[in-house]
This record gives sequence, C-alpha cells and structure tokens, in this order.
Amino acid sequence: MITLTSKPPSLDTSNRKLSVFPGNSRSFLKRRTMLFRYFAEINLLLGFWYLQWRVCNSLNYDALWLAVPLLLAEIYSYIGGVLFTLGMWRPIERQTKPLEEMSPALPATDWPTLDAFITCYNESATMVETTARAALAIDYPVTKLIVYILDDGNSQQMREMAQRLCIEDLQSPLLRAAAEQIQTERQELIDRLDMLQQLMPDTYAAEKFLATAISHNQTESLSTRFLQNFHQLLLLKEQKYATVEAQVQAEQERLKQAILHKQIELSGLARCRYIARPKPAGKPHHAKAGNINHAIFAGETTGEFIITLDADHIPKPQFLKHVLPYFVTYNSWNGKYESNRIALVQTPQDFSNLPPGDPYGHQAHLFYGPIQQGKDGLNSAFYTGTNAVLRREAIVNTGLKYFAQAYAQDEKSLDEFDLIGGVSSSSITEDMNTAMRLHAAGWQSIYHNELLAIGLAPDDLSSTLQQRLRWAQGTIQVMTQENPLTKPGLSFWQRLQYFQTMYSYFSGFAMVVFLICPIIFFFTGTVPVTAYGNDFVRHFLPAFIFNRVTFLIIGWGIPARELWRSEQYALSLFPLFIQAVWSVISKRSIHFKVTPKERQSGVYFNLIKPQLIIFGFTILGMSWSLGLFILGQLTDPFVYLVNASWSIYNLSLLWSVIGAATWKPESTK
Amino acid sequence: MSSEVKVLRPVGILNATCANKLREMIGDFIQAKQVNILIDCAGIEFMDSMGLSCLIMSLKKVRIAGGSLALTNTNSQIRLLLEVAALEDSFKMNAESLVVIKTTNWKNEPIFYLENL
Repeated sequence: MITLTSKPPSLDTSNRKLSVFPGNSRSFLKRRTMLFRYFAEINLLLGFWYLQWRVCNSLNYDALWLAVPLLLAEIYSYIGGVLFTLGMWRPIERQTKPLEEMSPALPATDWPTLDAFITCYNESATMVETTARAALAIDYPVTKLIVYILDDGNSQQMREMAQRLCIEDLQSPLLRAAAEQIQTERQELIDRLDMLQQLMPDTYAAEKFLATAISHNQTESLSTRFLQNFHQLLLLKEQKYATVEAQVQAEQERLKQAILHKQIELSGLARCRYIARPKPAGKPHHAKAGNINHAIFAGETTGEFIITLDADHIPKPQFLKHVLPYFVTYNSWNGKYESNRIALVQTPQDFSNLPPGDPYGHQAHLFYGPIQQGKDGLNSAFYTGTNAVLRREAIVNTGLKYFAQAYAQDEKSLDEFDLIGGVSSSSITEDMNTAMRLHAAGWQSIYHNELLAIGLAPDDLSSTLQQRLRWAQGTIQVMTQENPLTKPGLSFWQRLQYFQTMYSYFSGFAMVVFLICPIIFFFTGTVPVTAYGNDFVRHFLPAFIFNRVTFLIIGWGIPARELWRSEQYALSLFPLFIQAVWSVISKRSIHFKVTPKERQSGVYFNLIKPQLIIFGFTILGMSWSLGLFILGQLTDPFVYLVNASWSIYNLSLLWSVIGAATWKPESTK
Repeated sequence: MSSEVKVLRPVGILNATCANKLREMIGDFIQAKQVNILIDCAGIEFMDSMGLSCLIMSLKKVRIAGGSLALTNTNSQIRLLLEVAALEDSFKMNAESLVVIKTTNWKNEPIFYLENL
C-alpha cells in the first residue's frame, strides 16, 4: 500500500528500459549540471558582492550588539552556501545492468553470498514479519541469501515469528526445489563413493599385481607391458600421488567432503534466523552498531555481503540484482570478475505512510537525489543505515583497525570486541561514522538512485523531533571525535562533504539571529543595517533571486512543495540544533534513542515552545508597528516594509512545525 | 581447572565459514573447562579478517574463562594481520601452560582440515 502523493520521475528508474551501452555500468554527469553551475557561480558572486557591501558600507556602528551577530549569521550562511555548492559540483547519474544481464555473464554459481540484517528494537512482530517476508522474497538464489532478524528487544513474540517464518519458507516451492536439488546432488556423490569403494579392492589388487610383475616376471608379455604403461599414464595425470591407491583414497576423501558440504548446504536452507544478543546489565551495549557487530562476529553469519534494513523497510525483489553488479569488476587480463574497492552501495529511502502534505517533512528526494548524487560524484556517498549493501570484508577490515586503536589504549576493550569491532560504535549516528572510516581507509562508496525499499516514517512530531535531534547530535559528535578536516586518509572532496554536513548543523544560532532582528526593530526601532533603502534592495534582491533560482535548478523534478517543506524544516528546527550542539560541547551523555515507529498520541505545543514564542512576538511586533503606522507615528515606512516582508518569510518558515504540532490523522478528527 | 593444554592443528584457509566452526570447537573446550589452548598455525594457508576476528573472539572467551590462547608457527601473512591489528603480543600462554607445552610433544597432535569441520 503505497500512498505516495507525488513521486518525482527521477527516482523511478525501475521500469525505465535501460538503454544499450557497452560494459556493465556507466556514469555520467547529471543532467542540467552545467545550468546549475552557471547559476551557482553567479549566485556566489552576487552573494559575495552583497556581503562585502554589508561589511564595508552598511554596518550599523550605533548598534553593534545587533549588527555584528547579524553579519556573522550572514557570513555563516554564505560559507554554508559555498560549501553546499561545491558539494553539488559534480553530481553523477549511474546506470548498471542487472546481475543476470551482465556481459560477459557472471555464472550464478559465482554470485556472492548475502546476509540480510533486519535490525529491530521494540517494533511489533507483525511489522518485522512483513519486512522479513519481503527480504526472503528477494529475487536471488535461495542457497545464497539468509535473512537474520537482529532483535535487540529479545522478545518472545519475535522469536516465535522468526521460527514460524523459517518453517513456512522451507515449505515454499522454491526452497523445496532447492532442497531436492541438493539431495539429488548428494545422492549422486554417495553413489559415486559407493562405486569407488566397490572398485577399490580390485584396483589395489591390480596395482599390487603390476608391482610384483615388475620384480618377478622378467619375461614381459605384451599385455603386462601395456598395463604397466597404462599405470604410468594414470600416475602422470595426477603427479601428486605415488600410487593409484593413493589417488583413489584422495578421491574418496574428496567425495566424502563434498557430501558433507551438501549436508551443510541443506542445513543452510533454513533462511530465516533469529539473533538476540545477550545484554548484560551495567555494560555498554552500543545500540544499533552493537547489534550489527554482534551478528557479524558472534552470530555465525558468513555472507560476503550484508544488506542492512531497518525493521520497517520493505525491500523490493530486484534489490540485490540491481545493486550487486557494482561490487565486481571485469578483469580483461584473465577474463574473470574480481572484487573491487567498493565497500557500500546506498539506495534511497522513501516512505509509504506519509500523510498528505507531509507535515513532518520526511520526504527526502533532495537528499536521496541531487545531494547524494553530488556526494557520489566525489566518492563520498553517505551510508544512511538502511537500504544499503555493505561488503563484509571492508567493514571487518576497517573495524579491526579501529578496534586495534581502542585495544592499544585499553585492554578491556577486548571484552566488547564483538560489539565494537566492525561498524563504528563511537557515535549515535553509527552509519555516517562508519562510512567516513571506510572512506578514510581507502574504500569507495556508491549511491544508486533507484528506489528499492520503502519504509515507514515516524508520523508524529515528538518522534520526528527525536529523530532529527539524534541526527544532529550524532553528526556533531562525529565531528568532535574524528574531525573530517584532519582525519588521515580522506580526500579533499571527502573532507569537504563531511565537513559541510557537520557545518550545516550549526545553523541554529544563525537562525535565531535572523528571527529576532525584525522583532527588535518592531519594538525598539533599532536596525542592524544602516541603509534599508534602495541601496539595500539593489544589493540584496539579486543575490536572493539567484539563490532561489539555483535552488530550484538543483531540485529540478522535485515538487516545489517538498523543496519548500525541507527548507522550512532546515530552519524552523533551530532550537533542536542548538540543543544538539550544546549537548555535545557540554559533554552531556547522549543516548541512542530508537525512533518510535508507531504514532505517539498527544498535542505537541510543549515541544515547540521557542518557535511559538518567536512566532507570537513577530505577529505582535508587526501589529504594533502597523498600529503606529495607522496613528501616523511610524518614522520610516520603507524600513517597516522590509522588516515586515522579512517577518512574513520567517513566519512561513515557522508555520511548518506549528502545523505539524497540531496535525492529526483524518480518522481521529 | 586443568593445567592441560589443548592443541588445535587446523589446516586450510581460515575464513568466515571455517572460523565459525573453529570458534565452536574452542567454545566446547571452554565448556569442558579446558581453557588453555594452543593453535598451531603451521597448516593455515591463509587467514582473512573474519578469521582474525574469530581468533579475537576466542581470545575474549578464553580470557573471560580465566585461560589463555596462544598461536604458534604463524606464517608471515598471519603475522602481518596481527601486527596491523596490534595484537601480536596478545596471543600468549601463561607460564604454567608454557611448561606443559615444552614438556609434551604437541607436534603429534592430530591435524584437522578446516573445510571438513
């Protein structure tokens, strides 16, 4: 049940007929990038022109206490814009051929093994069941895909569900066919072994006879000579063994092993498994990272690749066949496919439960689109924790490096090796940190812009805010622990990408200044800018207009409404961003809060007090000044006009969270 | 707790699949209170990072049980992995077990094929 109101065409590549191209994959500059660059350059120049005018010609020296903060906020925003533009400079689009259409063909027997990790905490078993079913239904050889439910809540219900699903899965026609296939193969091997064993006594006797024939019978008959030569020929073929007896024994050993292997394969057909790690009290559990790491190291999982799915993210059947081709490269020297340095492929996130109008701003076509494509173009596509395929070797190799560091500092970290040895556990946004470490270790990442899994978004304000707070806190936390600007191993562009993301979370402070300036004017008449007249308009308006146009070009194909929503949320959550910065800098402990997937009830005005206060004061200020204007006491109506438009812009940004706080689903109205 | 040293002589490639089995074996030893374990790596052709992880996991378990886990006859590839992970000094025996190892001829212990487990 997909109730997406609007779906940009750029995301829906699943049905698009792939145009013919040589090789298995290709990438090219995203369409309209040149147009974007053209406008972005003008935008940055105009912005710079405006900024120098602000610094040199319009700073109000009579009210420096207000003028300086505003100027700093404007400089912050400008630098943010520069970083954003640079990050978007080279967005790329990719096309790949699905696994079975690759040429030269990669035989299905060579396809890698996969583990699907469904991470859950306290979600309902029915929800996880839907996800697990979809994961089991992924179009991939059944002997090469195992689904693991990593239940951090250790609930009995979940365990029972997993068992039931496993049995159901084993009874499905596909699995039965696979089991039969393995059984027949095993039977064939057993038959051959029987035959071999039957022939063995004769072979031994014959060999013995020949050996004695050499020593005793000097008068060789033709037939004995022929037999001896034949014997030599047999030995020539397998020079490792001195006698045919040894050869036969080795063959017998090999067959026994192969039979055993088939047995293991048969037991491996139980494709839905449940893992709940022990969580001893008083010891750190390292949240989601700990959950995944435990499965990697202590969960007896062996897949070469890992697909991570949040409990509510339902994968589509074509997921693996569309994503796996990235992980192999054809070597034309030896005519084989070889593994490459791609550590992860990230696919977009989208949601099936968004209410009309998306009051909480969850739709992220801007991020899972131009932004990720821009990052991809600079080899820094982000890992976002779900809907991604990871290379186990990369995760473990990189994880071991960091474990070694922790271990050198503190021998006790050995005790939690299985929780910290792989995916990064030192931040509450483990996904971003993991990707950064992979990049620093020389691995590469890819963003595949095709919707391959659909999930659920938190559908109330409280959970939404909790989620955003976690992202903000985690990102800033990573910055303080592993500064991307100094971290060894990252490329310049990767540094820029990671720094830009972290930088953007400091916007809360600038936003406060932008919100408060007009209010101060309404009540005190103090202005931070000396010239609000024509001069201001001349400098400000071009920069502003080009900024809007550039933004629209970036978001080409994404509904304007969604762009506006994402802009609203980027700015109206300022108290949350400030809180995040503060909590990290003051070193208060941050706990990983799992975003609730079910709607929490209640009215949420208490969550957005700062926004409400500013909203109220802005309206009050505007009416107050309007009153003065009517009474004819307003000295400079034009300054009022500028501030009023500024306020209206602010109010429309803030309106999103207020709307979200009062939003109720249709049924409960 | 016995001062006996259990010797494992695995042969083959130590990767994810084989590592899990090896870890199970060591787990069984720990269950049986045989916590001093020597792994003779002479037969290991190649060990990947999952193999190393398995050794670290086993080390953790053995340490918790109060025992020790040591490696011997490591080839250059294994040593490189251990060095990169700064773990080359971690796999060692306690003095008491060392005496046991020196006085017994552990090289007669049966080998086992990792792929066979």
